[in-house]
Amino acid sequence: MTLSLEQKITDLLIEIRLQLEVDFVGLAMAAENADGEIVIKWKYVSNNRNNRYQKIVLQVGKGIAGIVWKTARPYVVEDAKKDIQETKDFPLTITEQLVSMAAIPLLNGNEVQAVLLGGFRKKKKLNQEFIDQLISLCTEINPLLLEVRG
Amino acid sequence: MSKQKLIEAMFQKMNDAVFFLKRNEVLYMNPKAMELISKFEVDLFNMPSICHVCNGMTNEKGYQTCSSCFIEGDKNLESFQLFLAKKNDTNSGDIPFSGSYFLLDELEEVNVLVLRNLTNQQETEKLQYQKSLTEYVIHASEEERKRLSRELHDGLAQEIYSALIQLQSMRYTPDFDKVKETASKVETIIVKSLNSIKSMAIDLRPAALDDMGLYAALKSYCKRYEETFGMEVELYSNIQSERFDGNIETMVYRVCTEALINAAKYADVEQVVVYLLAGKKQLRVEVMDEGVGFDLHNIHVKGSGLGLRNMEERISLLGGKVSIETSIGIGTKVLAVIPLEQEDNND
Repeated sequence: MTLSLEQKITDLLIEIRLQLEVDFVGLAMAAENADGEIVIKWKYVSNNRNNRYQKIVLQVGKGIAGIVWKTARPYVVEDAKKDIQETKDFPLTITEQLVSMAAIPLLNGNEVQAVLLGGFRKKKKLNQEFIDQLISLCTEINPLLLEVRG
Repeated sequence: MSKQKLIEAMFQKMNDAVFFLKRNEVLYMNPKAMELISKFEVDLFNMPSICHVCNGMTNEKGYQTCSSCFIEGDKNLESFQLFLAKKNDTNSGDIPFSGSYFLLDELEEVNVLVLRNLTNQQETEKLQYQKSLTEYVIHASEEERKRLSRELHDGLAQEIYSALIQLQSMRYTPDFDKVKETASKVETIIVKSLNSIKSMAIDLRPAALDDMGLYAALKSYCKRYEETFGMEVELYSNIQSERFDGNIETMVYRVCTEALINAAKYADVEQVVVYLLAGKKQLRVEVMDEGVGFDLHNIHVKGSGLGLRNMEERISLLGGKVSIETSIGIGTKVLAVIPLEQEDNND
């Protein structure tokens, strides 16, 4: 039996979560809202506490995924309780109760095609090694993403 | 001086009013107690019980209540708060007293009631509370400015700057197709900037509130709220396009959004229910969730608790009341009731 694309990506996220030993992994992708604007939504997750992530809609530049989307650079939050003043801009930290997290862009050339986030529900020190690990683990997702886009 | 004399002297001179009561009838009292009786609504010869004097006490059931009164229970109460009304003065309201009540003689059923005027202390507390509230409001408005400034600087200014760069590059591009391409990029950027401006304006104060009224403004807020926090809102209302006083609409909108944001941040549920109901005499807003709830007496766990006070303050400006029901594991309900002015039928 062949796995569907969704299942393949979800399986990969589980694998990444276990390898990194993080509490939560999410993959955000672009979508179009009713007005035809580009917005970002969390499409695939692993070890979510609830389904609120599905309803969250981020503008480019807003939220962790939105910032990574706009800057095409990794973004690290060491301690959400201290570093985030406006929680309303970082809803995933509320819904998934994340404390320390890092998000990286998945690039296709210069273009961001997805954002991968790995986060802890307890405070952890996140070093460059962690980010490098995140980057190396996500190489397998890239070809699948091209399939998603068709 | 003998011990007896000292105790007698203390009884005569102390600043607390002391009553010896036998089945709630006064046996003896000290000068301070007489003074108290002369100043407050107490008829000495017609006092069947201390209840006649008391206008309620403060306990877990309420700020000024008669339920589970100290007199009725057999318990000795070390210290509690009760209220007395001033004589010939209906304006200044009830005066708070700290009291203690204990059984002196079991056989004779003699109890002692000691009362101490708390006005000064309460005034100080009130001032302190006002101060902390003012600080909260200043802090909140400063935070809001900070956020706006950041959004203007990091968001909008950046976008306009990049549009400017693109426009400048167009000037020196001879290739018409390239110019067309850049123009469409600039267009995208400007559309985005426009949307940012619109959403900032809505965040500051939704135009819908002024143009279409409370219900429409709340409805559109709920839609944005769902996308922001991933929470589902069920908004039930019996008003559609009815309009209320501008102040009422603004305050209710603010209180409702504040309660919703609290629910999103702390309740840890996927759904919240809002009732907005208008009657002839009052407007009721209820924001309910079946989330984790919290301990009302210990709000400091998660925040300053001043957000809740701020809500109360806003609603009390309109002559209304806010009540919060919450218990851990069950959920939270914020209810605000605002009196609506009676329409004058005389003109």
